Amino acid sequence: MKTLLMILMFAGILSAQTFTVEKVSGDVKYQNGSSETWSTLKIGAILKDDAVISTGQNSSVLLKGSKVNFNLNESSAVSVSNIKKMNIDELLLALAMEDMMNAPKETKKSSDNTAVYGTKEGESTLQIITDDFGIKRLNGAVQLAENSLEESAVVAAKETYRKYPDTKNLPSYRIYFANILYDKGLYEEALDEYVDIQKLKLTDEERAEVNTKTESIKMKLLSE
Amino acid sequence: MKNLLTYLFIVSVGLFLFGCDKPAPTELFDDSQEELAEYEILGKDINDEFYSNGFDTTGVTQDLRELPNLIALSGIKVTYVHGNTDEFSFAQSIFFDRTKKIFSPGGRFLGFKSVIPGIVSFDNKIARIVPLIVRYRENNVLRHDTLGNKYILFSGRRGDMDDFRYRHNSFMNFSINIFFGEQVSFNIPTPIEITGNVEILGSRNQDDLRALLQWNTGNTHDITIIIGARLRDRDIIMPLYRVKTIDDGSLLIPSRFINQIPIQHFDRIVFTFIRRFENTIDTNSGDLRVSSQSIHSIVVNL
Amino acid sequence: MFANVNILSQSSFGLNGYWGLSPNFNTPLYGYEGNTSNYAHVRDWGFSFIYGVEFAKNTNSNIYSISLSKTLGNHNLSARFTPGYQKEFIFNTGESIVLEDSTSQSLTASVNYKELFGLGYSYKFSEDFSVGTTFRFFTQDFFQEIVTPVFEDSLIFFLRETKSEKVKFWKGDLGINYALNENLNFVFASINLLNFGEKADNSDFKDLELRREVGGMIGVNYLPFDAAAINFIYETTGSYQVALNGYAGDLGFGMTLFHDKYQEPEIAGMIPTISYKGEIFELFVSGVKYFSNRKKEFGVSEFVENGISNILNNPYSFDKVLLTVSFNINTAKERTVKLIDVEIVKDIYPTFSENYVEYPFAYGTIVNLTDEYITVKPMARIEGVNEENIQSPVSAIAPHDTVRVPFYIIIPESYSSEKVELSYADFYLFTISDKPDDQFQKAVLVNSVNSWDGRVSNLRYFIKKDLDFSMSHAKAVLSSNKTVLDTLPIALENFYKAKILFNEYVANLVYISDPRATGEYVQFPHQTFELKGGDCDDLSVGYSSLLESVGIQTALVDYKANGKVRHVNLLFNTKLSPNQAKVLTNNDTKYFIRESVDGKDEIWLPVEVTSLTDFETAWKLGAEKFNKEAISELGIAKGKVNIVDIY
Repeated sequence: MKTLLMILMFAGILSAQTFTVEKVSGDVKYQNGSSETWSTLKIGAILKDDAVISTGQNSSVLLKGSKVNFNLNESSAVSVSNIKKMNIDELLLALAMEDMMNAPKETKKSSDNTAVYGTKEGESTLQIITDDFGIKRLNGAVQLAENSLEESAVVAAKETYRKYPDTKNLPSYRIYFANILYDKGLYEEALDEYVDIQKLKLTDEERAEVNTKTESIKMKLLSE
Repeated sequence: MKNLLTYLFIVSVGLFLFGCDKPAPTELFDDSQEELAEYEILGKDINDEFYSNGFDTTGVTQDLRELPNLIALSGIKVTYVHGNTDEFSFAQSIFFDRTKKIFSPGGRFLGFKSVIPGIVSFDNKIARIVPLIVRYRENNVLRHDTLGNKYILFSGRRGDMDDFRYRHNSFMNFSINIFFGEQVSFNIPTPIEITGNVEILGSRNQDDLRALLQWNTGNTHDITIIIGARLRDRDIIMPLYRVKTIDDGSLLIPSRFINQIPIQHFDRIVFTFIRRFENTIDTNSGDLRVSSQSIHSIVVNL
Repeated sequence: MFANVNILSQSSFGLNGYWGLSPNFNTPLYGYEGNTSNYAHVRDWGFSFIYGVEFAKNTNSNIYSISLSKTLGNHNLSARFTPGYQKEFIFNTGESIVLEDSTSQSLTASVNYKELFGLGYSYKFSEDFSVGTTFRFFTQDFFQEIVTPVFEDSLIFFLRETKSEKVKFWKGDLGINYALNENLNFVFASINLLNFGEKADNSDFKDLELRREVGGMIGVNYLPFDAAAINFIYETTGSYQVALNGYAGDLGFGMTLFHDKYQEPEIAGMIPTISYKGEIFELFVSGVKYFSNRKKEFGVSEFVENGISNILNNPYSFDKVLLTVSFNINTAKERTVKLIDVEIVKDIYPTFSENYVEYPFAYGTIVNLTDEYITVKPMARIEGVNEENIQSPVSAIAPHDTVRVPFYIIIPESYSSEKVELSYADFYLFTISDKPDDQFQKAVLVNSVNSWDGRVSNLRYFIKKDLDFSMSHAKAVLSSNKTVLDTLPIALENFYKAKILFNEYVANLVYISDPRATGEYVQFPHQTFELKGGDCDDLSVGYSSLLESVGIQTALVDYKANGKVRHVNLLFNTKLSPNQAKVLTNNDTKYFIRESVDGKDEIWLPVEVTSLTDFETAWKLGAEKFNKEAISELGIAKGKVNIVDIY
């Protein structure tokens, strides 16, 4: 067991961590791997890398891992795999990965396939059930940042924007995470974010902050 | 490429047609002394005995019409088919009066009148005077006519015997006492005796009948060989060809000369070897031919 | 670099002098006298003629010889026509006749020796050794004037006739050429080895026949350096020749001295020559000068006694000046480009046919042998794969330049061999004509249609190839589930189709790891279906094909896993937007967002195809793996996980 742990710890930079539940307060649930159901999280439970935890209102949970400890406050959700310290390079890789995930932009020339991709005529009348899980995830990401796991926080936030597109329209969160990039010195990436944020409906304060940051970055980039 | 080939072909054909002279032949000169032989037809018509007039064992073969004044000395041998050889000595002299022509009844010119201008002696023996007869055929009739007279001396088995002997390789004397005139006398040199040999080679059947003639070489540049044939029904020898050749001791008569001789007309061939000294003296009465000869006739069956 | 064998000697006198080792000049080789073994430098067709002037008492000109030569591989055949090779002698027979007018006329005889034509054949065993033979045809015309007495009736007269005889004969000889090294070579040949034909019937003519003494000749040709040659030949009949030749660029100079047994003085004569070599023709100007007086009178007796052995060169020959022109005509095209080597850079995987359209499968190293720009059309063909040559783009090559030119190949759709075949590829270079200037053959391994190079991006070809099968199969499956599908909202169509097809797919299948020990082998969907099993590649290919055939976009996920056995599974596009995720699942780690070509974010689901259980399980396993290895461990960014879209 010990050796296995050792191997696990030293295998790869991003070694899988397990966390033990130290404290639980209120409504805390977890979902393992690809399970469809949420289960109640109890003290002493071991959470593996593939778990997702979610807190309800007025709830919190304290996780203890071998490298980091993490406290998740109310109305948040976080993937256990995100609770780790990443370095700048890894953050950059993760940011780049976003693009790499996407389908290739150039259409291939010769195509034997007669199948046509595209939506059928007659738009779907599917009811979209919205919930606030996206916001919970963002909250979780904020707490990652507050737990000094800023890089993971950005990664988690970015993931959330993709999976929960509505969350992209929340300026406060957007600015918060863009600022992390700024603070970390990733100006170009931050700039992309600020530029995108400016398309949102912003308060004057928010706009001012974004503008200031934007200008500042531009100055910095020009002087290079 | 094809054009080039065509062009080339035309050029070469052109060159070939226009550029070709035949290379000049190399003419080689006669530096060989052998085999020099000059052939002459003598008797042109075998039916005309006229042509045999000039030919008898005296070896005189000229056409009588063309003879100049003549003094002839001959030492003669005749070898017959059976191998016997007779010897004769013969001397004759003929003088012509060129102003007088003798014609046949038919108008044929037979010769000039032969005259007797004086007394002729050979080696101090006085020559006899006998008629000069010419034989010819006219209107298919054999005729004898006389041109005049001539001087002769003769010794031998047939005919008259004069006390006269021909001496070979020596000198003999001729003198003429011209009537009412002077005496002319001179010596006549005689050649080395000629002795011939005839070897018939080949056969008539194989068409290669030829005659190898051999003789002793002597002191003349060339010798004359007369090839004649004896007419079958008459005892007349017809001269056929004369061959003049270098006196080198042998001559091969090619088959074309021998083979052709028709055996229906002739039954014997006679090869007459003549070694002759001859001189022509220019006198006031015209040319005087003086000849002395050694003659050997060999008769062979055809 | 081999010698012509131009042996010159009393019986092998050549009108152009002796031009030993120069491979440049083919002209002297046309002379059979010298070149008994009929050696030739002619590559295809050669043509030559000699035109000359002879300085006899009068000058006369002649075409001496016209020759033609043809090389076929290692054989060479030649023929020559020699109208100028004749010599006539006229002399008195010794007989004369007395004509009607009492004049005497000599009878003459003549003999005309002619060499009419010759034929040659040779075979080159190697560059150093060749053997050949020549046959020459001669006529001798004898004439003699004779008189024949004709006895016609009673008349006798001489008939002048000409006796004549024409005696023909052939002369055959053998020759051998041997090169010891670059600077030295030898020649051995016979003289009058074979003589057959008529003999003079007529005894008179027998003595005048051309002398044909049997003998042999040995020649030595020495090149101390490229620009000069020294040559020597000796004949057993007692004659010899010495020659010195020099070369300067396109020009050549030569001087030959010859000794002839039958001629005076010791060195009977010389042959100076100047020559020029143009592109397709050669020009020789030569002279034959005898060192004795040729215009003097000659006697018959010597002629009859010694005769002559050689028509062109005998004691009676005259000085000459000659012009020889030869042409080398290649009807075969000159090689302009050469394909030195070909490097095959791609293995042939018949199923990856599209791969070969964009990228060349081989590169050829080509050199331009000429002084001009050459446009070359590369073509290639693989035996067993292509019926016709496949053309690659044309390239222009600068003079004398060497370039690397790509060769492309097309694998026809119809190629279906399931065996790996060792075949060969033919590479051709075409320039102007429709025959290739050069070609090259190289062995090539043609993989089977199921062969795979291990690159997941190439699995798309297996998917695409069998789409017809998949389509009909998928449609059959879906139509049997029509009722279910009809009740569904359109948006969920892809998801449910994928689910139905998966469950149907795996119902009959078994997972088998790759049975092949060597190489990779991927089954076509129909094969997986028939074999009822396959490995992760086969199964992913099969399932992807099914989905693609009904219009569901898929991508293969390549897990490269650090040297361990590589794994492949699948992602497919539900076409749902991220907002609609809740319809599919409660667990947001089970799906992934990918932006489409037109900028729309869509939900893609991973499927672990080797989990031959059911769709839900396969989806679960696929998602877990993807999450961990692709996302969490930044596998995609680090290149450890690769997403390969099928289109």
